[in-house]
Amino acid sequence: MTTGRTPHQLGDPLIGSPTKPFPAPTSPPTVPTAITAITAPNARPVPTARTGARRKHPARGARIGALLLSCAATGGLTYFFADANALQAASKALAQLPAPIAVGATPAPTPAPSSNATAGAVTPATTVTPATTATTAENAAPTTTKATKATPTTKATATTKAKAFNGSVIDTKFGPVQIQVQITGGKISEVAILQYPDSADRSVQINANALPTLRSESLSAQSASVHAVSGATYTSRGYVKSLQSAIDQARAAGATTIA
Amino acid sequence: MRDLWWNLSRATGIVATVLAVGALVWGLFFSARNTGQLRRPNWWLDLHNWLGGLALIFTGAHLLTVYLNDNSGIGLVQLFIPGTAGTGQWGITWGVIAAYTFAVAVFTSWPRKRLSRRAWRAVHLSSVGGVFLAGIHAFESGSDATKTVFEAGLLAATAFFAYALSVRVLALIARRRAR
Repeated sequence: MTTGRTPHQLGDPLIGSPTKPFPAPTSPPTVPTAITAITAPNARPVPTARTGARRKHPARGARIGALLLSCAATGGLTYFFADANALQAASKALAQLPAPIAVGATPAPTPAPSSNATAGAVTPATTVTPATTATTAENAAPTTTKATKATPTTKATATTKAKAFNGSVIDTKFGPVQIQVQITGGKISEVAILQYPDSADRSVQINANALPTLRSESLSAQSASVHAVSGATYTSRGYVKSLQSAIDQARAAGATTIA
Repeated sequence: MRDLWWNLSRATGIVATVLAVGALVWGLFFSARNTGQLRRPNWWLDLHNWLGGLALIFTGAHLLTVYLNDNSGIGLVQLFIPGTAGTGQWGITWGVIAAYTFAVAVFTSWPRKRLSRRAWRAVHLSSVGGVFLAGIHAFESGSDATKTVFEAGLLAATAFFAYALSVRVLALIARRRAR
């Protein structure tokens, strides 16, 4: 059955109006390369522009790599140098700690905390008498008047005798800790570090901060009851245990009544 | 902050020296036509240009950080006029001259077509001496010159440079014989 109307009058969108033709295609229809090859086998292939053949910077990837590598190397070296400087400063700070006295010898004058003069490097425990309770308990070193007059900052006086007691060697996760306590007039006059974890650079940096803090705290507290230094928990524990053992020896020897 | 400038000046100096050696070696390989089959010659030339430019940039950074470091005792006069530094005079003098040769080699490469080939070549080859002077500067004035790692690095760079130079010289001899 026909309606007597043309298709566009029916509203078919696929069929254009007779007065308004279909718009011309914007680009020529593309024919796949395979079809072209089949339909025209003898046709000469159209040369196409080779991408990358005439690039402005052929070594673009290598350029970026060299730039990144250079920047990374600069940053890495700067960090490495800063780390080495920090280690050097830490070693210097540790060297400024009071030197331990040899058991049975006259104690060296205590340097003022603000003094720049180094009292001598912290000697490793191998040069000091091994710390056992039996051998160190009775050792004492008299203080001479001359030493007292030479440095007003020393805590030893002419009338008192300084006695040195080496604490036990406490093995921690990062190395041994051993403390020497010097008792003058029944009080802790000085605390020296005989051993500390120094096998790793990081340990040296940590202990350069922790040991002076622990030393000053124990001197002001006049006991081994000191707070652990944050970031140096193992050293702090070893310090407290070794210091306590040294104090115990001093008390057993009758040099002090400190608990 | 002072330490930062000091550390940065050390780092940029080392990196600039390595880049200069790299640019030199790349240039020697390229001019000897010893670029292999893996990469095209223009790739080598492009990277040579880039490494040379980077070496100059890092040399500039080295100069800047040395100047910003208050503790170095080096001012603008010492940075740009050879022979004016008080302490370690010769080491710094070699460094200043090396920086100038790098700058001349890079900046004359841009207007290369306007220069005669012979003149450009003479100017460009002066950078070989510049790299050599940079090595002496690092050895005499460098804070890390006595470290084993640095000495090993300098030795490796020298060996790399000597190899590239020998390749270049052999190629030159072979080309002349072919004529």
